[in-house]
Amino acid sequence: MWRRALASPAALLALLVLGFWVVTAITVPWWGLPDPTESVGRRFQPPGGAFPLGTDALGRCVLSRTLHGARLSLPLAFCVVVGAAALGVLLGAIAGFLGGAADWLLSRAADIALAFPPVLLALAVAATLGPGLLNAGLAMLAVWWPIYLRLMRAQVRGVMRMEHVQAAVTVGSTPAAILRRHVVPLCTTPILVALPLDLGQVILLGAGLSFVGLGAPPPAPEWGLMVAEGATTLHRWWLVAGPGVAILSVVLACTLLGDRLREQGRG
Amino acid sequence: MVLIQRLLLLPVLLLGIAAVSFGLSRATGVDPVIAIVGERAMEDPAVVAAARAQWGLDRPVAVQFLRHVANAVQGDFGTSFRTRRPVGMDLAERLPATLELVLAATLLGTLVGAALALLSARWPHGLLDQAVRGFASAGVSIPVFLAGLLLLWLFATSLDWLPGPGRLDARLTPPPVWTGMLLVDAAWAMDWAVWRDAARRLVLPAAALGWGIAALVARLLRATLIEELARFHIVAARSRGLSEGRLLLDHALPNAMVPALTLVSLSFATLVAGAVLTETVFAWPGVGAYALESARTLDYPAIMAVTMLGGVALALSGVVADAGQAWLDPRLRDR
Repeated sequence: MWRRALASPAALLALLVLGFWVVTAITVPWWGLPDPTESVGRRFQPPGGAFPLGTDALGRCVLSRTLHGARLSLPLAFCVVVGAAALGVLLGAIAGFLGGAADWLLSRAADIALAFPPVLLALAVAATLGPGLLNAGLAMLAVWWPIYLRLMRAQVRGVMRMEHVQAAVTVGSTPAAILRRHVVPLCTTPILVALPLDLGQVILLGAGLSFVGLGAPPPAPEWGLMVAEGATTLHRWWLVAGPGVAILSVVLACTLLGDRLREQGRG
Repeated sequence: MVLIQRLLLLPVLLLGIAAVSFGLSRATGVDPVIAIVGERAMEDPAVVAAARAQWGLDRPVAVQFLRHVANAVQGDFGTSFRTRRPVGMDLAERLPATLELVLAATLLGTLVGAALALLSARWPHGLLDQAVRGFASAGVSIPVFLAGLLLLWLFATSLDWLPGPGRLDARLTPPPVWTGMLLVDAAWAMDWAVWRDAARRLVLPAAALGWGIAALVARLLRATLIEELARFHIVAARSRGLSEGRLLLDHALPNAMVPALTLVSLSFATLVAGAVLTETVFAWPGVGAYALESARTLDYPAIMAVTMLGGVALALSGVVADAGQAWLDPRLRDR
């Protein structure tokens, strides 16, 4: 599925962009860039010379800050998506496998969590926990887990009706063995397909939370925060351009890749 | 059937929404009394006790929750710590600004999205189609605050075609409040100077918020249109010699638009709440900005009310969307 999805040039480009950001996130401290949180030059220097993307209100290098931003946004979004998927898959498998009261309770819990507009729920959770990158992550986890619960529950219920599962029940396999050996392996594809799309959307929401001041506190080089810092002086466009392009490129790459995977998964 | 099931579950959902928003507001590590009396008065136990009693914070949590639900049902959402006014009054004052913005954004987004989808479906896999699909991917990938800033930078800062943030020029007197929506009120008062300014200031935020809707509608409607165009009634109509344009507009669109309209009606409530970011960028005095100010100041009667009303609006819009779908598509009625 992955190989066919990557046959299109758009998906390949998306993968390259993502690869660039991942490599950047891992290796950027050794690139010899100026410290992203220290003043290293004159304030508000337009792009050019020693600072290809200019400097911000405190004389910090925008390029260095943008590249270092990958070390915050990407791991956070990755943890949120993987955490939400793990939690949702676990609870979804339980709900789909057991049925009955457990299913009803878990499904209603998911309904309630999904009943809130995502931005508002994240805002309320982030406000409750207080600002901070970790809390923003928890807030987004609260938004995303029920999506995976629903996905997994529907999968498990479909697979449970299959003949090989009925056969396993008949020969007296234990529920845990049935779930692990006969059900879960057949349920993972839709989950895996959903991951890249959600990764992009989590980065989007995370940037939004930072933008309104509920994510990473200053002076962190977080993309949403950097955009917020540049938002009041739009004629100095370079303050917003760097982090803006960073967010857009990562999320667009995730969307393109996710779309391709979904198309392949369908047909 | 699905509709009835949904209606039966609605009370469970609403109670859950109330419980979550209440629980969130109580889970703050900060003692809400600080927000009421201020940090300095915290050392005076008499003041603290009086404040607790006045705001009902001395009762057991379960009692507080039940009282809150009972009050909310009667439209009383408590008093904001920040503005010292009933939250319901604050929200009623700010809701029209958000509604005006979201209505404009929905209208703009739906029309643009539908137009793009029709062009795309008319010549599928062509250059135009590729461009529309690219736009749709970019539309769901660009953060709404970035779209807003981009529009502001381009049309207000650089080109100076449209005014910057704000809902109305400070030098203009707003029309007498009737609906609270400036365009409606100004037209009612026949104050065309105000109407013009308000309309010009509405364009950018509506475009920023509508961008995402346009992308969603274009994506979904393109897919359903192309699916619809492959069906037998289209083949039959084509063999009778109808033009491709007629086929698309008269025969494919009516069937294909149902899912898209459902999507739009479902996203309406999300937009009202999601206006947080747009309203921040454009200094728009709506519910979203109110939610953010409340979240920042831990004004939890306000946070709770906004979260709860957002959830209720979304739950109800789900029911409305289902009903609307059944009304538009007779096949769904007896399911």
